[in-house]
Amino acid sequence: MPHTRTEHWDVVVEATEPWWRVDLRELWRYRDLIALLIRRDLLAIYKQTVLGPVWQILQPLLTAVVFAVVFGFVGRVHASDVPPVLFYLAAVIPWMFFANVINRTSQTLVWNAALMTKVYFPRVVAPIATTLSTMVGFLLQVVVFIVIAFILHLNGAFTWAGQDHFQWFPLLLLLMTLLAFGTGILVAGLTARYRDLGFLVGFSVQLLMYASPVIFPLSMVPPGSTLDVLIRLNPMTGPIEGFRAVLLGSSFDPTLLVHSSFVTVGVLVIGLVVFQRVQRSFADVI
Amino acid sequence: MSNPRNVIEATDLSKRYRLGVTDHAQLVDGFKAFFKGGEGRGELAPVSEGQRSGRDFWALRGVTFSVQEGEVVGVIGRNGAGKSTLLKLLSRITKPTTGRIRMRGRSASLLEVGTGFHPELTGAENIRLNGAIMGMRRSEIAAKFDEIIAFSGIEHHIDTPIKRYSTGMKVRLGFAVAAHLDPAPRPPPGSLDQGALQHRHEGEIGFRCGGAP
Repeated sequence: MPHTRTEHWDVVVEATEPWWRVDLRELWRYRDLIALLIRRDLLAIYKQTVLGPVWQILQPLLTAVVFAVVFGFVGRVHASDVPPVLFYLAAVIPWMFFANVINRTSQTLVWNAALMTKVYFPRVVAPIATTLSTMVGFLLQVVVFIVIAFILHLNGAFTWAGQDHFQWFPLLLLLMTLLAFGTGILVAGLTARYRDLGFLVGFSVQLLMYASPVIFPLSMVPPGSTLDVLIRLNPMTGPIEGFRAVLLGSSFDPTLLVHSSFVTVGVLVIGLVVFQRVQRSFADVI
Repeated sequence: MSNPRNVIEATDLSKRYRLGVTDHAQLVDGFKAFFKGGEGRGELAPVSEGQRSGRDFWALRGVTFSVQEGEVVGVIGRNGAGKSTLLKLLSRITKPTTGRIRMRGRSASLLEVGTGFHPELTGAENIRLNGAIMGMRRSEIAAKFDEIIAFSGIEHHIDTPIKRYSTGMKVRLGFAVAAHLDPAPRPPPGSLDQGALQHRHEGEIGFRCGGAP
């Protein structure tokens, strides 16, 4: 009797596979690993610290205080009647999230090298877990911000400006996350073999902050000036302005997000393609 | 009737590695390959044999074999014969330069016990993490959790970060997780340099690559 069973194989490995194949079903099967890697990140960071997760709050808070002193009081930059610390904190929190996600995801392959060379899992699992564990810290910071703002409000030091932009929060978070994730995996893919770019990235992200409305509101920049053009080219300008508006109730121009959306989609697609292309032989070059 | 069917089929498998350190010469080669439409970054481009053979190393070349359901296969060879490379290809840690692998069922590889152990996490936390890394579902780990701890014989230290463990305790914990994997590769006997790939579909099929002890 001839062998008539239909050929079904669960796993097929070819020497060359199309770069666009992102196996979402496989990724879904690995959701437990993603959850556990997030847990590992969150548990491991603050082991042997006394303050633990409080550091999540102290970092942006101290940065905002420094900005408030340097730019707010000395440089007379800060605008309006919002307390300077609150004004800076509202932008420092999302900016730090953005910078941390880029820095961490771009290093994720090197950090997890011991894992990648010993066992198979979809490589994109590692940067996804890193991004989500960073997001947990971000959400915690937003909650603390609201608490601080409420306390200042009770003291009469801060008055809610009254504009309600809460509906933008999910979109702002999504844009910012995907932009940082896309940039991170792009860099991770490019630095798997040559690590030079890694040095450039951390530094560039730091510089990019000065071409964003973190330190001064967009309304203070003279329209049409070089700075204005640079700031409007920065895809993080829209999300930063948006988060500040959401958190302080100030005014916000949603059309700023159009440019951000295009850049985000572009960077994400390029990042995924490069990462996909490199991922199958990471273990050889890492 | 039930014909024993193939659960692993490897056809014309080859793996080429590049010798030497990563430097700008490789970057130049990489760019050339990239613009020639080769495989590009991250892997070697198919450049003509004579041009490269001096700096290339073929760990495997033209390997074809199949493993049937229920078979246990051992691969024996000297150091550098390509046993571990074969195992890495079968476990998808790296991709072949040429050829194709087809597999049925689920496979778990064990190149090293305790893969992904995090020194700051406790024994219990590492059991969950290690199990997930080896491809176990969370529910499977939970079901076998007590068994794994009992097997490891370190109940009293299970809530201690494993950086405080002795080498022996870490190995025991790693073995305990590996022994409860489904499909369960038997931890390689003796030397830890050995690797094992266990493949299971309905029956039990083992594929092992063992290094010289």
